[in-house]
Amino acid sequence: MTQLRNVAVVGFAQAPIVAHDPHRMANEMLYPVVREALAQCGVERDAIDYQTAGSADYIDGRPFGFVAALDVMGTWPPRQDSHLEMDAAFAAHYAWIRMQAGECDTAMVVGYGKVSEGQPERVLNLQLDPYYLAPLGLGPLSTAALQASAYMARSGATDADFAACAARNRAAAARNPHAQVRDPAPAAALQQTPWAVEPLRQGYVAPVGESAVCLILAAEGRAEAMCRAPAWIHGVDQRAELQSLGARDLSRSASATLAAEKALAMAGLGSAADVDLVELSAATPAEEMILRESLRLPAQGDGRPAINPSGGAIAGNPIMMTGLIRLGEAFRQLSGGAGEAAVPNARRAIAHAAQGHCLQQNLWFVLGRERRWS
Amino acid sequence: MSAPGAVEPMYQEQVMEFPYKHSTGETVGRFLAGLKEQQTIWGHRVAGQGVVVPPMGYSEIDGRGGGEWVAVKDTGVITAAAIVHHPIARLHPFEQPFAFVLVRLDGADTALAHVVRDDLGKVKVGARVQADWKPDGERVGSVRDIAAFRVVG
Repeated sequence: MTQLRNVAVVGFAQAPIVAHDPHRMANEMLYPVVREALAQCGVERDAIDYQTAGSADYIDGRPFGFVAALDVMGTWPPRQDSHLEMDAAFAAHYAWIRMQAGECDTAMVVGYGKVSEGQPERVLNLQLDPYYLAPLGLGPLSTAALQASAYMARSGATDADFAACAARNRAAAARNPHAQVRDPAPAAALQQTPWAVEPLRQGYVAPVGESAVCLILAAEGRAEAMCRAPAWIHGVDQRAELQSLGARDLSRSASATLAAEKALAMAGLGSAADVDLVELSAATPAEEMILRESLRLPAQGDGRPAINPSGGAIAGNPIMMTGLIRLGEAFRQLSGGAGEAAVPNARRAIAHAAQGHCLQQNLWFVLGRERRWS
Repeated sequence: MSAPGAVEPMYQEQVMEFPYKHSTGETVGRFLAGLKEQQTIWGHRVAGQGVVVPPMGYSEIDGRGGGEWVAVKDTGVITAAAIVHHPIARLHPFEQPFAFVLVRLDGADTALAHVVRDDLGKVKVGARVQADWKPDGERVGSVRDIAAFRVVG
């Protein structure tokens, strides 16, 4: 690896994750968090070299909707901009790459989407191929349930294990003011909730949620001036795998495993056990267990590293933002802003993002309080 | 309570409709023609991946093309199952509970996504299933020319 630049997360703001914000349009949800993230960094938007967004027009029902969001982020003076139809965490990776290329020193990354105004199972059916999968009516909840069944068959995990996993996340979410589901529930109670799509119960998956988030990245030299305790990116990698559900081993995630190995190696870490906390974009207990295995951590249970001290995606899963929120939560933990959810003495963290059905594409960030390269 | 000066929420309804007519291409087209005309399920034997059903026309594993068409059976084994207890109108194929399944057909090395309508209590990974075909004249060249799979053991 040639010389890499130190790049850090220096600011993060998010709107509360809610089932439906009836008072504001997507742009209106985004505006205050953009202002807040800039204010955290003590800069105005002319200090930002590059901006990028993660959103999907289908989610908002506003084709080319990202164009309208540009004015909130900044279009004057004319600036560098890009847009990904992916979770905004992938846009953050893109910004990191542009910084490594020397094209910018600061970047704004936003994610937004008013999923409540449409029908997510129908909308995300369109992510599947139009010949073999979409005509059957598959949506993300159904494909996640297929993956959960494959994981149960391979690992022997039970409904009670899923309930315990969901209960752990909900208990953590009760300490996180930004989570959507903040009422803890014992595993036994969650196990009584109706099926969402069997083998997943309604208590194991987040309700529909929407939010707007803004994260600021800065390279060494700028980061220190914008943040008292930047969260430096030590390693990052993303990998994709087959779209065909039936050609993959759904009980595992080969792309998550390889990307985690690469990101940890870039960070100079021997294993994921060397970090203090992990934030996973696991929308179901099965996804959490598969991702833990990808990190070579036990599939279930507590311990170190802490898994999802925020409550994770099971307690709030706003499409297009869930991954960027994981990165933001890691920043909060490392910079001392996690409040009651703080993991004591957290010095290193892992943040994960996923895209597509059944963890088709996975992105890992490894972060630390110290600068990595010099 | 709303903030001072805030308006009560109002809504504007919008239904967007953009019809498309997708070419089924060479590979998907041949597979769908097999369903429509012959009640035959075609797989594609490709290097590095075995017999791929439904076919992609190349190996998803190593990208090599070529290969031969082979007919696989309409019986197989469930490799993943998801039971939909509350079907969604105008998305799901049935109004009554049904199951999504991945089925590795006999003679295939990958699994076909499909549905099971009956005996949902028997739907589980490892169960054997058989295709129920739509009758002659009702098949149109769609993956749903197989009406559903039925658990047979």
